[in-house]
Amino acid sequence: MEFKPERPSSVRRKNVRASSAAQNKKSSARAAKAAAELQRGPDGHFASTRHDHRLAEIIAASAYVFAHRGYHGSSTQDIADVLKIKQASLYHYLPSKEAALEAVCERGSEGFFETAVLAAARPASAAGKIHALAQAFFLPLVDRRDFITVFHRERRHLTREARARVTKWIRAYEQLVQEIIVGGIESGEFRKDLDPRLTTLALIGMFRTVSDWYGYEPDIGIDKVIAEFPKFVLQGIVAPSHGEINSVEPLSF
Amino acid sequence: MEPTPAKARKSRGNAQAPRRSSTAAKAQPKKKRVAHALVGKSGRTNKKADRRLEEIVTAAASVFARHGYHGASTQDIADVLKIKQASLYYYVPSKEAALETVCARGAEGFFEDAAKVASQPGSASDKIIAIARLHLLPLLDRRDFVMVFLKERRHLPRDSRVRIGQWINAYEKVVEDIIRAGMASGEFRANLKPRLTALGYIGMLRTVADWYGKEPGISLDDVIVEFPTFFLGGIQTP
Repeated sequence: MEFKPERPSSVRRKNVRASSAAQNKKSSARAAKAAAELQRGPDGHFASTRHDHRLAEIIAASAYVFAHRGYHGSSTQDIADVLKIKQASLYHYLPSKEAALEAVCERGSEGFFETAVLAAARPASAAGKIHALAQAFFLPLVDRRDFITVFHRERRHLTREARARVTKWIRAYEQLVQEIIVGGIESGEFRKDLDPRLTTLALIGMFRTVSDWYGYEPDIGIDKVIAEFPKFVLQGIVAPSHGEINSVEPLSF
Repeated sequence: MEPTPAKARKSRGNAQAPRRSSTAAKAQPKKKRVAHALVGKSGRTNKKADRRLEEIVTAAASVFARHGYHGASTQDIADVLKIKQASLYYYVPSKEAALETVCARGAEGFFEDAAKVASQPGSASDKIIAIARLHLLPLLDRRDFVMVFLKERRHLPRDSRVRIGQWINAYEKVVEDIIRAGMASGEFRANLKPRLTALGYIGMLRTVADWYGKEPGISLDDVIVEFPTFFLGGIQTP
């Protein structure tokens, strides 16, 4: 998954303006003023959609840079270079590199908890819930792998308060998974001798590392991960010597 | 595709290098002094210097594990030992050299042993269990080193990273081959995807370093027993 920075339309527009400036200074000044008026909302700030669009581009570029060079290994200049804009322009949107990291981590963890809650609340067997959980966990890799990688690898560089928030959030996620496991043990669906906490850590550990290699493995698409990983957890890899494998129905959100 | 013996030996050599003068040789100006510090006039190893170097490497591992490579300074390492920052350079030429030594120790013996596991007699399941032992036991006595190896090795110089990358590929191949052999013998499900399965198993084992020691009531023994059990038999009631 390669990040292809789109040439921002504002740059193109500026160039057009620049060429007209060469022809007629006076009219170009008027045109520039009018263009600026268009970009600004009634309160004098940039119109929010345009601003949001650029901000989203900057956060995506930050995710790309942080994922590939690490937070400490990258500079705001690197982020600006991806977008071919000036470093100083970044500060109009984000006050600091740290703020960029926070924004990337936020997007990298967005929705995980909510979709996990939905998976856990499904009127399904514990196995069905694990399948739904896997789907919720892996699907975001398709369109925001860099964000997720940064969330996993670089979140320890967040500010203290942000880290505390993230830790709380992760605990809640683990709790949710653990409840699914406990539910399965109680219903007799899962082995009685399981340690719920250890099982939770195994499951999350196995799921979490997928972002480290997803996209670099030519033959492994997300559908395979979504199909196979819950099976590892539920049935294991040993061939069933007797009886049938508990068939697990595929689920969709 | 296991690491060639020459490569493996080289890696061991690197891991132990700081005890002798070969790593120190990287810092050209200090070469003579370091050599002098570690090897006494008579040519015998200086035990005291050895011990001090060991302390410094251990302190570096603990500081890197806590603050990350970039978040840590050589001053932090010196502070742990209550010595002067400048004294460090007598033993380790740079922060990068310290990282290299810590990473080498974190992975010491690991890749060689993985190749041995593959060639052992025994069922594929036995080998899967052996891989878990191999993977997790170093956490007992050198958790900081393992953490630094896992998280900070991307800050190593390019040639070291490339070398480690080759070892890791070889290790993944070992696990993949175990899975493949298990499928061929009918021991494992025939519909497994060997590569994906290997990545799943290694991922499960790798994240243990992140929480091991912070989970009350979970010993390394539990993990070494339970993780391969999950992976082989799953968690469902048979």
